[in-house]
Amino acid sequence: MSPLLLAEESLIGWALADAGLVLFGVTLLFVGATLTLTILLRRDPKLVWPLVGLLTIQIMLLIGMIVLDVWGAREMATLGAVSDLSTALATHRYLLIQLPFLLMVVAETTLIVYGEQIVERHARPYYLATILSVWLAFAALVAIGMESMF
Amino acid sequence: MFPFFHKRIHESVALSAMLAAALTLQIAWVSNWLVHRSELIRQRFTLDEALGPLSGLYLKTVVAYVLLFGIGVLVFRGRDVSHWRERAYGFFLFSVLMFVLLTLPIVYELQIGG
Repeated sequence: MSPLLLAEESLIGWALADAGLVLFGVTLLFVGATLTLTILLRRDPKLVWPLVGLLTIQIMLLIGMIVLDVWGAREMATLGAVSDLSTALATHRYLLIQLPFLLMVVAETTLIVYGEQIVERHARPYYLATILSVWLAFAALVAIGMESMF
Repeated sequence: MFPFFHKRIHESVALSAMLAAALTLQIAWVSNWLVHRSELIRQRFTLDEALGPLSGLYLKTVVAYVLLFGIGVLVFRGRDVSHWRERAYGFFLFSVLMFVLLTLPIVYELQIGG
């Protein structure tokens, strides 16, 4: 890929050529921000609304990442670059990606329903479900990232 | 301060979301296991030849969640579901754990020699 501003090709240049990879990196950044807000949620319940916004963005990023990755792989199969796409897609991470998607939807729905009352005593199971969902989604995304390296 | 100054919480929606996710995760690992065990089910899940059964598995997840969430909202609407909180949370945790463990390749590809 010809660099635009740099004299030589760079790792960043190659990374930016893969849109799915870019979205994955951005998703991890947003999830990191969400983790921080979940830690501070008890101190300031008003953080619910920025959390909802972040989760919405993350869900859209995840959908975009899945669509780009799967569609891109499909195009490669059409071009003959991948002989057996179904085998190539039969990896653990293509199954695991469903988990952060579902968990983020649960977290967002719970936060929208309860709002700032999520930190009250009666909402404890939902509060724990929300925190757990965000943290497990992060762990799943990290696992997916690490698996893709091997 | 006074309970009637709090906005109304539609707990049934939150409960439905949690239960729907839990059930969808259970369906996900079961369908993944079946796809790897049965050629007939593998073919049924193959909506796109290029993508293989993954196309059906993803669609199944989305449809299952939307349907289960809708059913949950309709069933629990307007009811007091406070006594279901802890159980739903427990089932949610259990389902997440089951999904994580049972979608490990070493587990679902396990075959006993014979």
